[in-house]
Amino acid sequence: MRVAVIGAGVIGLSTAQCIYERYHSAVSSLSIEVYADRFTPQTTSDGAAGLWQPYLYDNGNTLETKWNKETFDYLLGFLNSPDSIKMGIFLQSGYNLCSDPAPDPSFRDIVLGFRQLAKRELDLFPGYSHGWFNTALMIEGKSYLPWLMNWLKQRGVKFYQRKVSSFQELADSGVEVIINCTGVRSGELQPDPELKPGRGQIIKVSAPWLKHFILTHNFKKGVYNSPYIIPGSRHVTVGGVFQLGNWSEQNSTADHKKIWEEACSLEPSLKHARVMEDWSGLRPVRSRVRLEREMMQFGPVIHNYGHGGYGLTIHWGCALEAARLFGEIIDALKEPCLSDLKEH
Amino acid sequence: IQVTQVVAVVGAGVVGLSTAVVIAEALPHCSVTVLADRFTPNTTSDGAAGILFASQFPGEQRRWFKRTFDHLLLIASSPEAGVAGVFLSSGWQIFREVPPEKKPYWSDCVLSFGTMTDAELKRFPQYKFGQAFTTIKCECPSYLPWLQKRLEKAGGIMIHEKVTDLAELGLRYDVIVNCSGLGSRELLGDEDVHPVRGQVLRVHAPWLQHFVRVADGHTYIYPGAGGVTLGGTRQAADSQAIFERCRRLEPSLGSARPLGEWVGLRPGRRNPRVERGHVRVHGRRVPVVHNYGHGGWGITLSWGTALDALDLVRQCLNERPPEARL
Repeated sequence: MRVAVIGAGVIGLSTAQCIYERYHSAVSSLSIEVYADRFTPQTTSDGAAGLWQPYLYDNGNTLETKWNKETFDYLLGFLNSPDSIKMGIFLQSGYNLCSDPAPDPSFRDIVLGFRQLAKRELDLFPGYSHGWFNTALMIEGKSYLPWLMNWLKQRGVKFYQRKVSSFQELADSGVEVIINCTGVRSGELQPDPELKPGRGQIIKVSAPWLKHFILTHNFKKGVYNSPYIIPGSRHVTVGGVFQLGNWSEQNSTADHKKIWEEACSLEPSLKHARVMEDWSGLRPVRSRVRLEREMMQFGPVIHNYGHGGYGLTIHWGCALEAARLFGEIIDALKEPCLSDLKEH
Repeated sequence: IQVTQVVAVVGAGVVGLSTAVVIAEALPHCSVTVLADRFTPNTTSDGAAGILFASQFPGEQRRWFKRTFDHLLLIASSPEAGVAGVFLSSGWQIFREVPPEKKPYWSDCVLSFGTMTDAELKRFPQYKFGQAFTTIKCECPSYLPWLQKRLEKAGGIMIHEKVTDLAELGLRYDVIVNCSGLGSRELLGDEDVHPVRGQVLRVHAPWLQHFVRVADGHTYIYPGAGGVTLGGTRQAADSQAIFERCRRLEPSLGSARPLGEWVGLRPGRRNPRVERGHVRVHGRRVPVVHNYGHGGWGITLSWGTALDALDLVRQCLNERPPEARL
């Protein structure tokens, strides 16, 4: 059975992995192919800082909170394995700061060591009156994606670098199940008015004395539009831009200036950091993740896109669900059709 | 007219430089000269990981620790953090058995001290109890040059000279401040001072963001700006053994790249000696302020003991009018 995954960001690759793991022995001659126009290190997942953290509140979307938790627990399990660094997984603690009092975030019980910030700590961040400290995980795309690709290649998964223009095109070539992990450009394969780009820009700097993430939240400005500083294994990511509807992947000088000024206000020692380069990316923003199967005239498609700024954070829970949906498709194919029975 | 008093500070490690800076900045009518045979990066302080972690001395240590912590916290939250090598460090201290005292005296001096949750302890299966907190890392290869600049700005000077005779120094200076660390054993004949050997490895493992310290002090992992320091010992030990103990706590160290080793001698003493003394010079008594014997807590207690030494220097200066030196 030929299965095609479109998209080679964290969603596409992890979904391919999850389906392979669960079905390669159950499904005879399962062959998985990955199609994408961009591979690591050119994907959106590669540019993200890699901090595991969902948006502060899930607004009742408990399914996504469940997928976030599944991902956290899954990644945590790799911490003591010899592969953890190859995968780009390590612990990191830090600060979430709010300008006004706010209820505890949805991820409070998922992360480690969650607690309220004491006054003495808040004094370190003038302008922020409330906040939390916790230990979370980093999952760096620049390591994780190559690790995933290697894992898949070793198991015979084939990769094709090209832009797929339609689901039909793949179906015509003999693909039986399509997994659509096309992120922000999913609308090109099937229009989706709910999907919009959430443009982000980040500055990579060298500041190796910084060991904590610092995320600020300004409820008037909205998510990610307020400064954040996330140290990584190779550099520190400095950001704070979220422009809904902006498709530009070019770095903007105006955005750089705004990010830099606000970040230096937050962390004065950045004054002596060495600026390396800027990067811009498009978060695939949607009111909720689209994770469902759709029967099209040429066959089944599983959609798995729209993970906003939390793709790395939620990827494994979604991969598990996508694999479950794949299982439903396999089961449906095995069941004899009821109408067939009736006719006989 | 105010006559300038000349103060000699013996020793240019973290205690000597901190004391010199404190005096030079507080007493503008004093001219401070630091004399030492070794300057950064060749002092004992330079090899220390520099994680502020409180001692177990009797007496003044809480005040010394708190004052040092608060002073360094100001630097850590300033634009100078990266330049001075002073920054926040979070992590865990773990115990094989539940300790009788779960909240030590220094728990309110550091930031956000708390007991580790079961989920946090899971990573360390052989340990039954742990403390999580945020402290400060103060890296002397950066901090000492930063202190030196601060000393020069306050009018202080530094001289490369091995001091072997305090009486000789008393000919040239009004007050002597002795921060000679292990050197006090020979310089003063203080047999209470004894070398406590420390050996550390440094590795490149930039994904490590947290310190891990086993409560007995024999094993620790301290990530810094230029590398991760692995230790430790109180006596001779094989560096492979240090690495293995640390790797058992933090398996990802298997992917670390070695950077080097360092061996130093801590100026061990039952407690730091911060008190007045004197030396006889041609019938005169030249006051001496002692500030040495900080063991493995030189950085941790540096600013607090320097402030106490300043008070003693003030006392000395107030008691004696300056005399002409001929």
